[in-house]
Amino acid sequence: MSAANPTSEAADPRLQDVSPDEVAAEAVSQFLTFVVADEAYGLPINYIAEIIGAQRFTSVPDPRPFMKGVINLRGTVIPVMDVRVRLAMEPRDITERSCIVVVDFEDTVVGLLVDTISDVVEVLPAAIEPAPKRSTESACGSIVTGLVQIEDEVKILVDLRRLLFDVEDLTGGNNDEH
Amino acid sequence: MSDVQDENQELCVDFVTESREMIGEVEPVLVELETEASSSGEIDTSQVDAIFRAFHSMKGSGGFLDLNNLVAVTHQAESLLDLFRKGEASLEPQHITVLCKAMDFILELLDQIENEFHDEGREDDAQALVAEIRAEMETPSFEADEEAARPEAEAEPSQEVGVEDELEITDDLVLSFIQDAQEQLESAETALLELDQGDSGIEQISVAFRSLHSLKGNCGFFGYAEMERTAHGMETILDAARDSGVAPESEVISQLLQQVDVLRVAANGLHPDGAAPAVSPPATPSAAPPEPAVSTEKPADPPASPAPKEAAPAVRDADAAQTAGQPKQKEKRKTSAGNIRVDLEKLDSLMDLVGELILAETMVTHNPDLEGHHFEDFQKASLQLNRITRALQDVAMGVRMVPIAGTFRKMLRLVRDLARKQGKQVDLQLVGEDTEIDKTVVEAIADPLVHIIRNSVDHGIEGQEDRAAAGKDATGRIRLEAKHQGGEIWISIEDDGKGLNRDAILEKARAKGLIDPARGELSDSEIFRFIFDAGFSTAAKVTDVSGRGVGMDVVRRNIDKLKGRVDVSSTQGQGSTITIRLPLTLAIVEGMLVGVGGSVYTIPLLAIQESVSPKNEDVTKLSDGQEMANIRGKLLPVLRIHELHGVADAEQELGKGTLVVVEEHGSSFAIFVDELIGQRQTVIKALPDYLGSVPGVSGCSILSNGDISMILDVKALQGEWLAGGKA
Repeated sequence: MSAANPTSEAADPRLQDVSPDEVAAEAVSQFLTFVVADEAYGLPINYIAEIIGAQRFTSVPDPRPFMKGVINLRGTVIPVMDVRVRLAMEPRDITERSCIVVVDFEDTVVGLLVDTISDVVEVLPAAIEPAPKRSTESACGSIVTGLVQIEDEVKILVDLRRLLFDVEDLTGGNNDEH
Repeated sequence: MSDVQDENQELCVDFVTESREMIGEVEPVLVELETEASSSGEIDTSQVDAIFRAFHSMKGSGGFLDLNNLVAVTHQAESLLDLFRKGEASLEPQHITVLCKAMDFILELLDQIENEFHDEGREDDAQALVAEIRAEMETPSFEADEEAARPEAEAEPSQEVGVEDELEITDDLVLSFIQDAQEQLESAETALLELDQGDSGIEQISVAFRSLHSLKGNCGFFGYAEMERTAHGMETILDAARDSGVAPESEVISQLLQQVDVLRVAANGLHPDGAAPAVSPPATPSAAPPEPAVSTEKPADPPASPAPKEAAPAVRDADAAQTAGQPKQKEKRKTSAGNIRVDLEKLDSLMDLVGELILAETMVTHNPDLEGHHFEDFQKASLQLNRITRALQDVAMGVRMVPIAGTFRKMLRLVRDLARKQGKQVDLQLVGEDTEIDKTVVEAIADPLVHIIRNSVDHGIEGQEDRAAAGKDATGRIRLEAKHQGGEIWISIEDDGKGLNRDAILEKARAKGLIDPARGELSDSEIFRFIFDAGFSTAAKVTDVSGRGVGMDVVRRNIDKLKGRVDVSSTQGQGSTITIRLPLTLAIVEGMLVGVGGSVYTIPLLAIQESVSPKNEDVTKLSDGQEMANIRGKLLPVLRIHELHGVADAEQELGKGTLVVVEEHGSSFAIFVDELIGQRQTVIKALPDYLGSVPGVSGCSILSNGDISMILDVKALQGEWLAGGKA
C-alpha cells in the first residue's frame, strides 16, 4: 500500500545519502520538502512517519473545510488534511504525483495531502532567515517559521503545530480542538 | 541489608498491590458481618476467618519488609478478630468501626509505602489506633486476651496463631490451603532452582523465604504442626543466607528442594474432609549432613539444625509418593478456579487482534474475487473458519467480563459510613451481583455509582424523624441492581427517600438560564436531567459529602464516555430511581451496512426495526421542510443522512432509495439511504481525535475491501438532529 508511490521511492536514496556523521552533527537539521501550488515547503523530518500515494478517502463531515476525510492505513484510521485548502488555496484534483505525508506530531497522526514531495534537504540554522513580519499575520503566513534558500529556490519552513492546530483564521474561531 | 534496598522496593510494590486487593475483598465481608451480627446476633466464623487471614497475611509480609507501623496495627486487629473467632466476644458495631478504621489506616500506609517504600513517620497514628483497638478489646463484655497486649513486630505469626482447636476448618478452607501451598511451594522451588544456577541470589532467597513463610503461617493456622516445623526450618536456613548475603551451596539447596518435595507430598495428602493431616513421614531427618556454611551465623537456633536435613533414600520415597499424589492434584486444579493476573493491556491487544482477525476473515470469505463462483469445499471451510473466529471472539470477550459484584460490594462500606455519619439508617440491597460486564466498564462505573449513592444517602433518604413523620419505615432502603437488557447492561439505583424536588430544580434551572424561555412545558425527565449539569445543586448547604453540584456532572461525563445513558425518574415523597444503561462491550457492533452515495454507513442492528422501500406518495412534507413518511399508518420523520453529512452523488428521490426505521428510547424515525448492503459484525474503531466530534457518528470500522464505514449513532442522531428539528 505504502510503496505504491514512485515519488516516495525517489526520496529514499536521498535519505540514505546522509552519512551518520552529518546526522550526529547537531547543528544541521533536516527537512522534507514538498510542493503545494508551485511553492516549496519544508517540514522537520523528525515528525514524518511515512509517505504514501494518495488513495481513496472516506469523507467525514468536519467544520474545517481542509479536512479531506479519513483513510485506512493498514488498519489505522487517519484523518487527512488538504494542505492546499489549509493554505487558503483552491483544491485541485488528485494526480498520480499527489502524496500523503503522514506526520506524527506529539501523538496526533495526520495525513497531509500535498501536490508532490521533492526531497530531503539539510539546513544549517544560520541559513534560516526569519519570515517577513507581514506574512506572519495572514492565514497561511502564520505557519511559517522561516525561509531558506537552496540552489536559487526558496523553501518555506512550516511550523507543524500551527499547521495542525492553529486554524482559527479559517474556521472562524473554531480553535478549541486541542 | 542495605544491598537489598532495590529488591525490597520491588517487593514493596507487590505487597501494596496484594494488600489493596485483600482489603478490597474483605471490606465488604466486614460490613456483611455487621449486618448479620445485628440482625441475628450470630456470625459466620468463616467470614471472620477470611478477614483474619487478610490481616495476618499483611502482617507477615509487612514484617518481612520492616513495616513496623503496619505490623502493629494488623497485629492488633488480628488479636481483636481472634476473640470473635474463639467466641470469647460478640461482634458489636463499634468493633466493625474500629476495624474499618484500621483498614483505612492501612490503605493510607500502603499509599505511603508505594511511594516511599517504608511506613515510618506514622508511629503516633499507628499507636493511637492500636490503643483504640485495644480499648475495644478491653470493654467489660469479655476478658482481654493476654497475647493481644503484647505488641509484636517480628514476622513470626505462626507462633501466636497457634493451633485453633475450636476453629471449624471447612472442606473449602482445606482445598484452598492445598492450592495455596502448591503455589507457594512451586514459587519456592523455582526460586531455589534459580539460586542453584547461580542467579543473583538475594532476590531468589527472599522469594523462597516469603513463599515458605506464607506456607508456614497457613500451616500454623490449620494446625499442621509437622509441616509448619519443616517450613520453619527451611526458613531459618534461608534467613541466615539472606543475612549473610551469600547464596547457599548447591548441596544445601538440594536439601531444601527435597524439603519442598516433602511438603508438597504432605499437602497433597491432606484430606478436605477435615481429617487430621497425614503428615509426611519423611519430614523428620534420617541423616544429618554437616551443617551448611551459611547457617553458621545462627548456630544457636535449635530448630534450624534438625529440621531441614534430609537423606537421599527418604527423598526417593517422597518422589514416589508425589507421583502417586500427582493425578489428584491435577484434578483439584481443574475444579478449584485457578486464576492468573493478566495485564489489561494484553487483553486489549488480544481483543484488537481478534477484531483484525474477524476483519481478515470477512475479507477472505466475502472476497470480491469469489463473486459469481460456487466452491462447495471453500464454503464449508469458510463456514468452519467463521464458527471458530466467532467462538474465539466470544472467549476473548468473555475474558474481559467480570462480575459487577466487586464494585457493588464496595458500596456497602460507603453506605454504612455515610449513614453513620448522618445518623440515618440505610439498608443497601444488592441485586444481580453476578451480572458480568466488561472490565473497563466495571472500573469506569465505580465512580458514578459512588456519587449517585452518596446523593441518595445524603439528599434522598430522610432523617429518621422525617421518615417517621412521612409514615415510612425508619430504615431507608437503597436498591442497587444490575441486569442484562437487550444488548445492554442496566444498572439502577433506587431509593425510597424524599425524591427529587421538581419545582426546586425547575426554579434553579430558570435562575441559571438553562431553560429557553420560549420553550413550553418541560417533561419531568427533561427537568430531572438538569441535575447532571455542572455546578447544579439545589442543596441549601454544602456538606462534606455532597451539595456542590459536582457529583452528578461526573456521573454524566463518565457514562457518556462509556457510550451509555443515564435516566432519572422520581416521585416526590416516595423516592427516586436512576437508571444507567451501558453497552455490553465497547469493542464490537452488529450492524447493517447501507450505501449512501459513495459512502458506506453502518447502522447498529439493535436500533433497526425494519426497512422499507417507500413510494413517493407515502411521504408528506411539513411546512418547515421536515419530511414525514407514512409507514404502516405511522408517521415517522425522515432523516436524510446525505444532507446531514454532505455526501455527494447520493440518491435524492425517496422513491428510489430505502428507509431504515430505527428506534431509540421509545420513539422511531426513518433514515433515508440509497441501498442496503448487508449485515456485518464490525469492530468499532474510534475516529481520530483530530477530527473532533462528527455529528451522529459514534465511530468507524474498516470494511472487507479496506474502505472505512462510519457507524451511525442513532441516539445522537435522534437527540441532536431530530429534537433540534422539532423544537
